[in-house]
Parts: sequence; structure tokens; C-alpha cells
Amino acid sequence: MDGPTFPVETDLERLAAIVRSTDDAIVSKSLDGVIRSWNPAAERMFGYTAEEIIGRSIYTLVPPDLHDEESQILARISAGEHVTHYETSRVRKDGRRIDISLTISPIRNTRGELIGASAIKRDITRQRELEAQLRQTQKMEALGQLAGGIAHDFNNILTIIQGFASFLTRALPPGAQGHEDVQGIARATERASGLTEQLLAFSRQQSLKAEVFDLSPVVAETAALVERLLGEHIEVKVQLADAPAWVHADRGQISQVIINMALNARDAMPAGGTLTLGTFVDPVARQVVLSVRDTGSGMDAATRSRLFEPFFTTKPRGQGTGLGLATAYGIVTKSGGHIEVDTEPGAGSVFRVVLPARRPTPVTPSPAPSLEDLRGGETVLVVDDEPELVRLVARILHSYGYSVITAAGPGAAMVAFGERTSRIDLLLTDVVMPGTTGPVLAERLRGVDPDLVVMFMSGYSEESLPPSINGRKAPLLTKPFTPDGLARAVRSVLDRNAAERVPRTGSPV
Amino acid sequence: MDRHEHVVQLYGTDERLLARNVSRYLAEGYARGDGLLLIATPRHTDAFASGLAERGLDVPRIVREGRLAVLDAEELLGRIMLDGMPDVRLLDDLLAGELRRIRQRTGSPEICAYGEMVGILWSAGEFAAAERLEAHWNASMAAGGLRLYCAYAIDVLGQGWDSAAVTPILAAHSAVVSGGDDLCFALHRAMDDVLGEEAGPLRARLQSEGGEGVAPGEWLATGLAACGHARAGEILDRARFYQQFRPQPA
Repeated sequence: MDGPTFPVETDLERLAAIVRSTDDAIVSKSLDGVIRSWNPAAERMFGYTAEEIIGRSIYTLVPPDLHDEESQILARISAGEHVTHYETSRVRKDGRRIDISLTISPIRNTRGELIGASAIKRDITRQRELEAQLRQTQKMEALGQLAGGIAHDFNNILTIIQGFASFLTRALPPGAQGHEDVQGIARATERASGLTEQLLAFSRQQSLKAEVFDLSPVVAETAALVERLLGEHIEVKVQLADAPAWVHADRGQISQVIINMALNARDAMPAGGTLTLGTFVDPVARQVVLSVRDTGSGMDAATRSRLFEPFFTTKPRGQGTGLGLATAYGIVTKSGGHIEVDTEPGAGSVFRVVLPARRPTPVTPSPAPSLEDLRGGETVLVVDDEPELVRLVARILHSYGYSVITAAGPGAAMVAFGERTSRIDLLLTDVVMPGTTGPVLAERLRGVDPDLVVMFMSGYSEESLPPSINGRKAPLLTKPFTPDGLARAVRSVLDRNAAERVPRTGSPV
Repeated sequence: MDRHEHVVQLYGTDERLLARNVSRYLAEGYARGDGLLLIATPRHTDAFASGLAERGLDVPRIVREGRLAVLDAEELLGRIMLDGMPDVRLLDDLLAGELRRIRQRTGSPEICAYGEMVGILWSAGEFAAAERLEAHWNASMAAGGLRLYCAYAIDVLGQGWDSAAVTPILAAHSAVVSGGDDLCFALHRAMDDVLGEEAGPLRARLQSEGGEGVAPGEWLATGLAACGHARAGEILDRARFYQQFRPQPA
């Protein structure tokens, strides 16, 4: 083997400068694993200064469970092998484990004898974290889609159960045999409907129902739920503002914020403690504050600084998603507010959700239309690929006086539209169907009759649907719906359209 | 397809392939200026009409113009069945007005029809009634001006395949619409797998007996089921698997 050529002094200085300035840790060690050189990047990566570490064993940096692996690497180097881009873990001076990528090359002396190894180490902890976050995000996305799809199908089924149960309720007056049984079915359907709402919320397909409301009663109601969730070892207290705490947000989501914060507090009080939920109105700053205070372990500055990061969790792997506070943060900022946190190790934590105060919306109670007001004589074309749902909707609308044409899907609807012998006043169609979607069907039929009124019905929320048809937003009736809810929606859309429309003269059928 | 043909598709469970074929057949008829008559279940009507719309036809308009008439196959069947057999004179009476109206609206004597009453009868086990109706269609078509596409939910590779029962149905038609390349591929691959070098002679024998107008896959499956080869069942089982899960070419 030829002996190495030694660089001139200026080249040595240049190489030394490169080693000092690189972001990769460059470490050399002897064949018995004693560290011989240590660059500034290694100091930053591992937390040891060169003075502290040179002369110590390389095993200082190796986690005990990886000692065998390091022995094997040393053996390979002693055999003259190179190790490239080997991914493993090491331990910093502060005990934190980091993921690194290693490239190790043997060092030979002028006689070609192996005398040690040089290692280039790159910290890939952040890269690993990002990869894990991406995997988690993709997993959550897939779960969300699955949950949304299940909720959609389930809403179809619930509409059918709810609708037919409602017919039975009408047919069986109180006291009649079977009346209570049917009421039981109706109650169970309502509970199931709540479950699908939760599924949709998880899949982020739930509509935001922002409104102005008094926060204090919502906190009081949620506190009752929180009490059951936290268990007996944690006392829940509620301190509400005397004045109404008007905010503009989605009630359900604000409840979710409280629950997420309460669950976080529970984990900070494994031995028990007190959770205090409160509201406070600041008329000067025009703010409403929701506070969640616990008497738990509190947080250090490092934890505090990453609190709202998605997937950040202090819990052992598999015991927390790290999404609770991130979700709360998202909801609050979406509602125009922010979250303040006061915490110290051992002194508990206070989360303050600060929301803009709003003026209460004056409510002019309009009398609910009577069932008689919901009747109509118009013709409705009902389209859904779920035959039982079509049958149910037709029966409901018939009972309110409407003429109904049914179609098993978009194609059949186009045929029915062509066969019509009188004007079709409303197209009531499902949105997601095999082949042609409801919006495309509406567009095609409006090509024939531009004045056709359209209403969609779907187990999906408004947010996940195409927003407009022919530049005009078509109303959406979300499933599950009750017979009265359907009649109300149909009457409302027909009346609104009649009021908006310029009187038609002799439009063709 | 040639004029005045009476074709059949054995679609098994592949309703997408059926919808694609039938909507293409109807669209071609429309392009020629033929009137269209659809005697189908509501579900199939929906699929075929959607297929026509996807091919650019304005379905509501052509229905409105009377160029496409749609009849519910189950409902029509309910009206013509007497003592377990179709009353073909009643059927003629019921259809005569419809056919006349379509011809008047299009100004063409030609009608391109799709019918699945026979398929419904077959699925209900009413084989003789299906044969009777097919024979009647052939008699009606002899007068000219009508071409017909029939469909049966018969799975060519299915466990319940009965060559003796299917042969008269195939014979009643002028052509069998191919179930697609997948069927041919599945059968050839399965024969090679099971028989190895022996596959060649059997394949050649079955193909030499090829029925006129019958698509090669359907003919091969029919021949295999009827040839009495000791391993025919094994070949058909394997072909069924390959049709569902097409492997990479060997």
C-alpha cells in the first residue's frame, strides 16, 4: 500500500477550519474506543466540551442498550471496513437521547497500519420527529376519512330509522301498546346521531355553528361532564362571572376546548387535586376569559414553550396523541381568541382562553310554523341511491301534501325529468352517489330548466361539499333529519325561492 | 354491431361493464338516428342513463322528445306473465303503441332496444319462460326495424354454471358480447397453470369448435364446462380467482 501524502501546512489549516466550522460532529477514536479528537459541532451535539470528553471512552455516548452494536462497529472498523450512513442513537451529556446518522472510516498511520477511526455524526433527531409527525398526520388523515365515511353512511341509516320510528310514534298514541318501545327507538337514534356528530368532528367534517352565546352556562354544563371524566380523586369547582359572558364561537367546540384542557390537567394531577373552571368578563378590554386552573405538577419553561405544538406530549409513547391542546389552540384562534398559560414546576397551571366579548344578538322569536304551514302542493323530484331513504322521503312529503317523483339515482332522475308531465318545482337530491354527483345532476337539469330549485341532502357537512351550483349556493339538509325537519326545510326553500324569483310567465314544463 | 342483431351479455356481477357496454350501444343507436327503448330495472335504468349523459347525450331532452322510452322491466313482466309463461300477444299489445310513438318521433323505422325481462326470468329460475320470450323476440325481429341487447346476471365462471341450460340462451342470440379481456386472460392463464403443456391441444380443440358470434372467453368457458375434462373444474376455479385478482403476466 502506498503511504499517504501529507498536505502542506496551509492545506492542514484549511482542513482544520472546515472541521471546526462544520455542523456535523467529527470525532476520532482509537481502536480501543478512546475519544482522541472532538470538534465544536460535537460539543453542540453532545453537550461535552473537548476537554471533558477527550480521553474518555466512546461508550460514554452510547446508550447501554446499544453497547453491543458499538462493539460490532469497532470490530468492523478494526477489520478495515467503512460504515456509511448508519442510523442509530446516542446520549447527550444531559441524558437526552438523540438520533444520529454515522459515517465511520478507518485511520491508518504512515505505515498503513490501522490506528483508529474517524466518525462523522449528523443529528437526525428533528428529521426523525418530522417523519414520525408525517406518519401520524397521515394516519390521522386516513382515520378521519374513514370516520367521516362511516358517519355519512350511518347518517343515511339513522335518517331511515328516525323517520319510520316517527311514523310509528304518530300511529301509536301515548298509552297504546308499543308506544314506549318506539319512543325507545327514537331516543336511541338521537344518541346514535350524537355519536356520528362526534365522528364528523374528529374527521373535521363537522360544520362550524358559530353563534353568540353566554359562555358561563356552557362551562357549567361541561363541568358536569368533566367531573365524570376526571374521576373522584379530582375535585371540580366552577366560578362563573356574575355578568353574562357573551362570545361568538361554536358551543360544541368550546366544550371540546374545556374537555381537552381538563384532561391535560388530570394528567398533571395523578395523585388528585382540584380543577377550577371559571369565566370572567373584562368590560374594559372587551374580553371574556375562560380559565382552567389545576393544582398539579406544573410545567417547566421547555415544556411550556412547546405546549401547543401538534404531537408534543410529555406522556410515554402510545399514551397520548399530543393533539388535545393543539386542537384547543386551533379552535380558540379560529374563534378570534388566544390562550395564555401561567405555570411553574410544582405550582400548578392556569390556562386562560381569552375571547373577544360580543354583544348579545337580539332574538326576535318567530313563531314556529304549524304543521299546517309546512304543507305544500308542489312537485318534488327526490333522488337518492338508498332506496329506503327515497321511500321515506316520498312518504313524508306525501303526508305534507306534496306530489313526489322518485328516482334511484342521477340517471333515473334525468329520465324522470324528461318524462315529467307537469312542472317539477324542487329537486331534492343526495350529493354523493355512484357515478354522477348531486351537484352535476342539478347542473344538467338546470340546463333544461334554469329556474329549477335545488336542495341537497347529505350525511356529509356543508364544508365538504361543492359550494355552489351555477354560481348560486344551494341549501343543504344534513342527515339525519326528522320528518318535520324535512318538511320545514322543503317549505322554507320553496317559499324563499318564490319570494326571490321574478314572476314566471308560462315557463315550459 | 350489425343491424338487426340480437345480442346477449352474460355479465355475472360486473354491472359496471354492463352499463358501459349498454350505454355505448344506445349512444351508437342514437347517433345513427334510431329510436331507443330501454326495458330495464330502475337500478339499471339509472346506470345506463348516467352512462348516456357521460357520453354527452342530453337525457332529459331526448326523453322529452320521445326518442328514448323507458319501461320498468319488472313491472312489465308482472303484466305479461300468465301461469308462469309470458303472454307474448299481451306483450306485443303493450309494446306496439310504444314502438309506434318512438318511430313517429324519430322519423326512423329503426329501434335500438335493451331488454332484461329475460334476465329477470332466468335469475328467478324460470328458464323455460326466458327461452319462450327470447324466441318471441327473434320472431318480432324478423319483421325488421328492431335490434335488441339482452343481459343475464349469469357468471360465466360461476359455480352454478349450467352449460345445458345456458346453451339454448346463447343459441337464441346472434352474438355474445364479450365479458372483456380479463375473462380470456383468466381462462388461458388457468389452463396453462393447471395443464401445463397439455393446455395447448385442449385449447386448440375448444377453439376449433368455436361458436359463431360467441365471444372467445365465453366460448372457452362454455366448452370447458361441457368437455368433460377431468380437471375442468379446477381450471374454472383458478380462472375465477384470476378474473378477480389479475396477477402480473408470468
